[in-house]
Amino acid sequence: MRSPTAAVIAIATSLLVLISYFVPAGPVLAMRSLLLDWAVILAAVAGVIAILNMVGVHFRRVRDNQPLAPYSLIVVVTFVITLLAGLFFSPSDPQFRQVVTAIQVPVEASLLAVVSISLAYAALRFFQNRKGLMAVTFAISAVVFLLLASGILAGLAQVPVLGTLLAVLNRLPMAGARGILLGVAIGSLIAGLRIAIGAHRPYSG
Amino acid sequence: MEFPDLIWTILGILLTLMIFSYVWGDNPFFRTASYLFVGVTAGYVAVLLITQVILPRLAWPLLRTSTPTEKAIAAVGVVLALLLLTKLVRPLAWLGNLPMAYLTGAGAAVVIGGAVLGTIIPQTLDGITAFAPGGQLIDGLFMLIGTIATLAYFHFGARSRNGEPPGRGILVEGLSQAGKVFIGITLGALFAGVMAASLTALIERVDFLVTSLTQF
Repeated sequence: MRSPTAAVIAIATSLLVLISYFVPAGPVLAMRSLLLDWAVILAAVAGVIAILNMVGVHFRRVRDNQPLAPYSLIVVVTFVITLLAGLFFSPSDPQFRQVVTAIQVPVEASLLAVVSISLAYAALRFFQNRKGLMAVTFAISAVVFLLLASGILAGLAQVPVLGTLLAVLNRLPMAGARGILLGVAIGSLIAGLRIAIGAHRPYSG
Repeated sequence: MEFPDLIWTILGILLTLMIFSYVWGDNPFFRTASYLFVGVTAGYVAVLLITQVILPRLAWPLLRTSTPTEKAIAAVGVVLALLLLTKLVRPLAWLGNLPMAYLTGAGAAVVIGGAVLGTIIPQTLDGITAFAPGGQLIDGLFMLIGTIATLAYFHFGARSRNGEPPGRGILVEGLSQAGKVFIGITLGALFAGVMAASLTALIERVDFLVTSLTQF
């Protein structure tokens, strides 16, 4: 339902918070702090709702005995156990943290390790299918910076001319990175301004 | 190795091997490990959100001793949170649009502030500083050309002239070609960084497996 009230709330909130960036007076900053405090609470509640929704999807999959139901059962059971244990013992309890870390760390590290194989394969497919100026520079740059990251060329940093060349090489990606950073920032600025003036209403208002 | 450490080590070995099995494609072992990870992580994040944000900022100010102002501030938060919870009830879901609008408005303002004060102004100032007396002129010029060329590559505005198909101007087209080179170099360097990090993780995991298995 399109609600003008929601649009007014969004515009007023964004303008009040924006004003505090330009008028950094005590009461204005206190108002921004209060508004952002409520936003943090809402973001936390929204996060819990999102998690409950995800667990609800897995619960329905188990209830209706859909394909992959055994895996969804793992999600539901481990979620409930972790939630109850965390609320009972508190998340700072050393034993609770040890159990959570004992599952999270090996899985996260192993997933990152598997990424290296997937990346190598994806790069190979990319070079087979895409040929052009950007693909060639990407390939050369990837190989050069992999060599630099491996430390094989570290000894050359002491040699006068080669040391300067390595320093220049390390500066090369900075120019593109600044352009990409500025592009992302300009995009974010425009998206934020569109919400602040009510031109874009992703909250269905 | 003591008993609890032994259990965690065996669990670590099993989970590592289950994830590594993905090299041969999607399989029940990989799925079991990844779904277990999702369940535990979702539970842990929910616990953190409840105990670190919702309880101390919403519940405790209302239930425990606090000033009337603190109670009033917490009460507004409770109202907003309850309105947001209506998103879970389909007939009342429209009420959830109000706190979502509030959250979106506050988020948009923070994004604007972050983009301007955190990226656009500092990056522009850093670019200008190179041209100041005593600055590194060649480096600054190179960075300036690279930045403009990269931005030109992402400029997709086109104009039709004399009935010809729409196209970019000669200057923008030339700059965007140079931009391709700069973007290629940057993405290549980023790729190499991610690859180096994932290779380090692979070496660490293999080392963990070898060390753990030789200790048994």
